[in-house]
Amino acid sequence: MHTESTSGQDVDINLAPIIDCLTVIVTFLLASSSFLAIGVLDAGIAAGVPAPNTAPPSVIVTVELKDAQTMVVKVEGKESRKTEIPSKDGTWDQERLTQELTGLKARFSDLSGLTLAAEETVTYEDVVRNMDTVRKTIPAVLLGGF
Amino acid sequence: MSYSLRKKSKFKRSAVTMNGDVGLNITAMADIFTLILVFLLKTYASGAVAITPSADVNLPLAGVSGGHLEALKVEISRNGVMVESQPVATLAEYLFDKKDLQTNGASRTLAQAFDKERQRQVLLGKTNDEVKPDARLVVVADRKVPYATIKAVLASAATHGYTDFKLAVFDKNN
Repeated sequence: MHTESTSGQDVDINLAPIIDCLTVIVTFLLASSSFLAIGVLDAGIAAGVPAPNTAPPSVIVTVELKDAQTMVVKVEGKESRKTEIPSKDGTWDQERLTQELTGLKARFSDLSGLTLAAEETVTYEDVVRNMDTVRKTIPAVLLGGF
Repeated sequence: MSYSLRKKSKFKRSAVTMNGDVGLNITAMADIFTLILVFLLKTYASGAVAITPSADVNLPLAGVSGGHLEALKVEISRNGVMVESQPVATLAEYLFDKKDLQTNGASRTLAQAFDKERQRQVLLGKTNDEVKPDARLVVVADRKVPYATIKAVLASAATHGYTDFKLAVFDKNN
């Protein structure tokens, strides 16, 4: 790079050391940065004392994850029933789960949370995957089965 | 850099001197490096949560709900459980030793570690008003961990006041 100083003399800036520094910084950043963003999912545990001064919801909903990718949606309260959702193509039928929860949400507008429980052998990945699906319809998900 | 300079540099990509040496025009290279540096710095700064999972921990994918977070971290891998990067309990293929589990499902060794962390927070709170016992716990677990182990960890934490759980996941929207 060629510049002219105030005194009229030509000054050459040596870019080579700048390139050296940039190469080192870029290499360090490439090595240390992760391009997969990590975030968090909010969860609580379905245990303990209910919050004071809050009316109990019309229905209490529990989704149980069973072995062999089957799910059971339990509804207790004003309506009481148990719906089993079998696996679809060897995996969790999340579409059917969403339909079930959307139907419940439409009937009971005060339904704002549910409990998600799983059998002991169900993997964390499956729990998180189903939790993610449930949260699209009912945002507050508590972990149960304790 | 102005358009005229850019145009000029296009035609001066290399310069051959009288003795045959080829000199690279490194001004353009400096431009590119600067752009890469800015991009990397931006990527570096946009990470929501300061969590670095161990190499053997593969987090599950999900849509995230939380932003920046500083809380006690517990990491569950195939061979053990770490609290704040300190190994506290041993696992055999993701499972606790049955002798280590109490009747309420909590792990004895893990409960001791959580108790120690809680005591530390209480002690700090006595000397510093800004430090208050925090109920938040970030769970950094491998996707293959069975729910039995997750339950044991959460039960151990809950008995010592950690009830606000945050599950660390890879953001599938990113």
